[in-house]
Amino acid sequence: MSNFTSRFKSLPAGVAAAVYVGALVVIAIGAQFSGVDPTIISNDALLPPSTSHFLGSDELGRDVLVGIIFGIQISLSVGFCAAIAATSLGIFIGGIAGYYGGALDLIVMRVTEVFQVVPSFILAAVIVALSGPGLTRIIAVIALLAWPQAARVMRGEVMRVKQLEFVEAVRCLGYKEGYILLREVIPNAVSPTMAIGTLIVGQAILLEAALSFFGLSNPDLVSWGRMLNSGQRFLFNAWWLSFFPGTAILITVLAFNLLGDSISRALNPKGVK
Amino acid sequence: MAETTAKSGRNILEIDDLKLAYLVGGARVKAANGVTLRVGEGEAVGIVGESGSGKSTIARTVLGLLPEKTSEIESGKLIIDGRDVTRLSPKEWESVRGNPVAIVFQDPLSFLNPVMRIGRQIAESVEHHDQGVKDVKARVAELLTLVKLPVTAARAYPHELSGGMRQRAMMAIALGCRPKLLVADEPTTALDVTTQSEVMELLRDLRKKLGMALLLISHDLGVVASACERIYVMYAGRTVEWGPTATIFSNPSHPYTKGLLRAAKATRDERGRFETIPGDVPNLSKQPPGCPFEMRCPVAMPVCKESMPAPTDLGSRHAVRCYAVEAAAQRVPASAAS
Amino acid sequence: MVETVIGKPVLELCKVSKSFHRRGFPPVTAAREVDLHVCEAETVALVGESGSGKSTLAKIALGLVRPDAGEVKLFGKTISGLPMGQLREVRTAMQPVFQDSSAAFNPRRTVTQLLSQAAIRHPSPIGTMRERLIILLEQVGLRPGEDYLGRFPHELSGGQRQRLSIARALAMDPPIIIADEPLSGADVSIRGQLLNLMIDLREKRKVAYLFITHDISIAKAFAHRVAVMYKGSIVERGNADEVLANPQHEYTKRLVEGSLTVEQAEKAVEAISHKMESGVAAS
Repeated sequence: MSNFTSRFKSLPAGVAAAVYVGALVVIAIGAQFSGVDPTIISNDALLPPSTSHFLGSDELGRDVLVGIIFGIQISLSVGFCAAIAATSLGIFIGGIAGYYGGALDLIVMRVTEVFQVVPSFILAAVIVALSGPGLTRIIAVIALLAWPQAARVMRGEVMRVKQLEFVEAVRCLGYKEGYILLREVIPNAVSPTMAIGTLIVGQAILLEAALSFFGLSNPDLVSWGRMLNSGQRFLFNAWWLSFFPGTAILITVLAFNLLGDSISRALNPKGVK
Repeated sequence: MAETTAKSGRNILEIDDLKLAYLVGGARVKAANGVTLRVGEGEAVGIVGESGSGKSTIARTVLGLLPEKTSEIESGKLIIDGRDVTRLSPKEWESVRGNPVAIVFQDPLSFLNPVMRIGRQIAESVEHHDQGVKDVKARVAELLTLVKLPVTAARAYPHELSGGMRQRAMMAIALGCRPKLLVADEPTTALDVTTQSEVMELLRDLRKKLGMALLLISHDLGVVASACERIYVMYAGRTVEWGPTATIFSNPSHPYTKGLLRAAKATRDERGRFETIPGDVPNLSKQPPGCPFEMRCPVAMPVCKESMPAPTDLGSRHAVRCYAVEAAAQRVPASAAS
Repeated sequence: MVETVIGKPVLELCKVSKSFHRRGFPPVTAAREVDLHVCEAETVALVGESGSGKSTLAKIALGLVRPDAGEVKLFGKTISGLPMGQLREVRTAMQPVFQDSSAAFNPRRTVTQLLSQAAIRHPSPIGTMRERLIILLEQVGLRPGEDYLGRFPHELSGGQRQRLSIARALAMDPPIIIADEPLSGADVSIRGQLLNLMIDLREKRKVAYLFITHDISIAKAFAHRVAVMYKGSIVERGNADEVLANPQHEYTKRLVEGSLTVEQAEKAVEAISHKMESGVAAS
């Protein structure tokens, strides 16, 4: 593990991304305890960026910076929850498919292929439009769309680990297959899937923003996609309403991609150079 | 150093008290800690050592293949074909690699290009290093015949060949450069017993035919003895004993060489036990100031803990670095004089 | 060289065959009607080159691979074809030692965890678990045992890891150890130590070995009997000394003559010095 840390530290983009994500978490938690209400309406409607409103204000006089800060919470919680759900599902299904192989494996792989060719945004939009908006529902939809990626990586890694000699040595000690899969194979196979999980966080944030942008989310919640949605009407006379939330999404998704990429490179001893 | 050159009088390779370290996470791992070695023109020399002896580092050093950022030559000299190459830049090394020095590795698959036909790969080496050749195709066929591969092997991809054939293909590529010195780093370790002896036989033949020098690196005394005129024994980054193959076998002087020879023979004593050297192979990241073999040595003396002895010349190009041998050698002339 | 052993067979392979089928490739026959048995406290060496099927045979014996045809018997009872649950219990009498000691242990576990994982499966009334582990470690020459308990496999040298493999096998008190090229990753100066340890166990604990190797000289010095495997079949078998000193089958001959051993080098050296002496005498 110390090898992993030292290799990770040698990747500046990954370190920067990790620092950025850490800062986002701190700011999001701080915002909850600040006592500020991001939905409060004032008379300063549609003001461009200035010293009183650093990133300007919207049509109802709400501060854009405050909105972005409170939007972190939604983006991150959707991103993390969806990624955790998708990765867990992927580890479970991919682990079983890779370990036991056979017909089960064949079915699982065909299913993941179906998911990979279906355009995920359209599928998500249809599901949310039919079942109605809601944070848990969005998380569930994103997790449902993202697990096949995790499952494929997990399956491949389990297939590699299960033929290592230590697995056979433990089998010769008389342990059951379930024990071997859970205690021996999976712990040594999850790392690459974790890296995929980090990438899924970014994808989930983007998908949530896209759904909100099309109005497929709870209008009472402050989120970056929601801000984009309301800002699009003023694109030509109040650019800051779209520009800053858009930038926040871009940087955050980029950060999670860099983080996931760096983690997978640091996990592979041959990858760093 | 008590070493003269080979028959022709000229050395193709001279390494003088080479010390080099790998930088691993802030620590310095001394992979070579005083290596002195000569290979004369047309001479076959072997390096024998176990894991952690630094023998493969020597192969890499001679080809300029050390990792640039994580290794450092601390002191000593490296002279190839009369040219001091100790501090060459990566760009300058290109004029050494291939000609005058070429290498054959343990694992041909990691060296050969998997998506290029063997013939093309040999042709590339010829075009690159042997501009005088007009008919490259004929030269490729000639090289294939030289390594005893059918000419049709030129059309094959590396994965279509067996391990022994791949090793031959790699030799053809190396020979395409017309090297004066061929370095072979564990060339037969990955091969089966029967293939191994064929490849060694080929190496011997090639050397006779082409008159090139050979530096053969192996953990296996039997392999080295089958092809080399002289042997260097390495332990923990140092050359500890060297001499003609026959002398090393008939009159090994360093306690490590003696132990290694006995261990390699796999004979059992009256209790039915195999001969061994106690202790473990050296760990290069923690090296004692004295002789690295001291902990495992049956004839260790207090002085062995303090410093590494200088070579003791035992005559007829046989030398050893050991205090016990040094002391014995001093006693003999003293008693002879009295 | 090695005394002959007559006893009850521990492990028997009877007409075992196995071939592997991969789509797009011709089937590969790894074992063709192989007969092989190992008696109590006996060492049988299975000699052959890579691809001869000897590793597959080891896996069939261990019950890790099911044979296409033939039977595997343990103490006279057929175990091939047993349902998974029963096979799991009976095969603990056979313990493996593998070639690559760096892959033989779960890299996330300490020596304590690795050994107790085995010791728990084979309870012993004597002492605490910790005491038992220390005894196991010291039995295989890892002394003092306490020093090794907290270490991870990658913190041990190759030779120490191979000793740990043997310690793990011993925790099960197996009548037979199936060792697949256990020395090919070890240095020459370490090889003898491991072999001596295995001889100790053979003498003190009556462990039988199915010892798979490509090294003729080790097979000759260590095994009672030897079987030479070539392309999935056993082409020659018999007492180790006899077979390897006087090989009959063409392949065995090639194997014996082809190996570049130190003995051969010594003979060559002697020949050279004779020639030189006679040359000096003539001139």
